[in-house]
Amino acid sequence: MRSRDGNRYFSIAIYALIFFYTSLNAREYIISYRLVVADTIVLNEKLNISAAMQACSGTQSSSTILSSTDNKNLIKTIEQNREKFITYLEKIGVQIEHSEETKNFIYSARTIMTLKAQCFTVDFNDGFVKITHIKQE
Amino acid sequence: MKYSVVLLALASLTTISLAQGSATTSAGSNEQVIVVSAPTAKPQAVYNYNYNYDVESDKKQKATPEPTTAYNNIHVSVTGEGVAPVNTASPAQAYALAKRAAIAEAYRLIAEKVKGIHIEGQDYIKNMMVKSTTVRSQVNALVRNATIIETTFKDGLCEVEMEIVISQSQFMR
Repeated sequence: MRSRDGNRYFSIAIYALIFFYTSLNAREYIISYRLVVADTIVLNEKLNISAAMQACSGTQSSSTILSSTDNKNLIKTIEQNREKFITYLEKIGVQIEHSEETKNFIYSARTIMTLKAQCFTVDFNDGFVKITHIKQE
Repeated sequence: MKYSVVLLALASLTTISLAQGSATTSAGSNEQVIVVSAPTAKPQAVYNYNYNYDVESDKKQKATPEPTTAYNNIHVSVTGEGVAPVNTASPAQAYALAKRAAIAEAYRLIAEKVKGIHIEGQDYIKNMMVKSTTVRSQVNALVRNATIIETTFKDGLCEVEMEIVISQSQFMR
């Protein structure tokens, strides 16, 4: 029969494993963004968020921290901090496609701003969520 | 057990401080380190040279050009304008949509300034008279790391001042 002291290191190791597994549960998401502006008025805006079905490969680049009241729900968190998150996405890099036409002195323009589907690591914590962009190599 | 840990910590601290002291004295005895900085905060270059120097060599060293990487950065600043749609649910939504439109236009203006714009013109003339005239322009670029400097919203018009800092080599590409 084992003594109580003999089991101590084993139990500490088990608790440490459980702690790190539960606290560092980073998840990966694929996020894309598209904004259509016609004649300086927003026509359509779409932010697509979905959980990654495969593990993302690449290096971690920029990150942002969003305050969160609802843990483990990324969509709700992003809805609460929409402005901040979209500014962060735009900083990562957006594709600008613009075309304008002046026909018989009547002007019309259309701008499409696109962030192609990118992988993000999301760390859920108490009261905040850390989102990190994974740059594909 | 506790005393041994405290003793170990004290011993490590003393060794670290001794090592730092010896490093500073060795640097002070043989050579002097001068930090030459550009007018802006970064970058900084560090030059090492012998302590026993004559005036002529000092003048020559001063005559050498300073690092010029800080001067090669180009600041591109633009102002984008966006209008709120007529049928919005609330003033806040109107502001948000106008801001989005203004940001998109600011990005487009940055792309125009940095990468350029493709222009195509077409005039249709029949019986010595201009029937129609068309001017088309296109921009296609990837913009990264642009910063919003200021946002103003007045009378349904949102203005976003945006800036991007790029190196001269990137600009010339």
